[in-house]
Amino acid sequence: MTANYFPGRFTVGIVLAAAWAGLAPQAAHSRSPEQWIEYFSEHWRDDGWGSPPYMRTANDNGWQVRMRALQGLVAAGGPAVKPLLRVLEQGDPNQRMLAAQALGYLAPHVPSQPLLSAVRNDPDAAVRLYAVDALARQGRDDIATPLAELEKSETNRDVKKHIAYALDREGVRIDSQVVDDLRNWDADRIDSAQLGKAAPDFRLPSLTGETVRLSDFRGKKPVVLVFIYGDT
Amino acid sequence: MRDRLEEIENRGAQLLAVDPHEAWSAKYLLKEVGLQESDLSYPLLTDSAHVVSAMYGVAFQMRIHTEWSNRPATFIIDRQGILRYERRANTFGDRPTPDEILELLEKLD
Repeated sequence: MTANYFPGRFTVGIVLAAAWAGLAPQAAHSRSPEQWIEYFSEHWRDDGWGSPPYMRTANDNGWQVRMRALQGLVAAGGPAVKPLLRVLEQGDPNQRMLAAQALGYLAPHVPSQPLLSAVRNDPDAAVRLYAVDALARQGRDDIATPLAELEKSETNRDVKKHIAYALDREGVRIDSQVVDDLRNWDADRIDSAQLGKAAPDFRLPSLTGETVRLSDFRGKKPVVLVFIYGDT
Repeated sequence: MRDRLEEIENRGAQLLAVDPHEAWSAKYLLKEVGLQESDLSYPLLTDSAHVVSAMYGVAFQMRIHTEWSNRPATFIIDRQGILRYERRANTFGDRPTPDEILELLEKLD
């Protein structure tokens, strides 16, 4: 009995430690925007990239760090804007990229000037691309002219394309449902799809305007779910 | 490829495609290849909050077109809502063929 007692306690200890370690990054509301930026900077490793097409290795968890930080920052809302703008101006390339990406979801609360400066001056194409997206998501009609101007001097093909999307969008701001979906998302559900278990349910809009729920098909049809990256 | 997709649907399965972009860029990309959203026989779903891609473990795993995108992946969920097949690409374009999908669907019954 005694022999079993200690390993048992030890196991409980490990399980508790593992549960704590798993929960720690999800305490979204206990981290300030500054702490989320710090969390990202500490845990994001930019070495998960091989040769083109730059797919992360299967065991690389960097994507989770990006997802959690992005969600924490967007959930923080308005108070995250100032620290993000500071990082957009002064951070390292990875921090600037995250900042531009997060500002895209907070777009209606963000001043246009710093975003335009990033599109104009940032040496990193990904920062410029996400800054263009953020500008587009503000839904302002006075950015078309400066963006069209920047399109001419832009050298990166992808950034040029995102400027074209922005001009095509005709001043419609980011859908508040998208922002709420990210803000209210339970980060415990990250990477929760497991073979043999119930597939994580979701609700998403289709391009033709309907809302589709995975559970709509339960009891009716099997579903083939294909994740694409824009390769329609 | 597109008529093979119809075969999947004729087989009684529902095909759902998830794109990590906003509807604006998804429509723009379709337009570039001469298609409209109504030309697709299956729903193209936009997951621009990336929450569904994150639940299925594929968000931000590939850097393409300068941005972070989904790792290409295919999942099959049976009639009871149980996840029965997963294939997360290890290389660009690594996907099951329509024949493989049809065969997998056959095995579900």
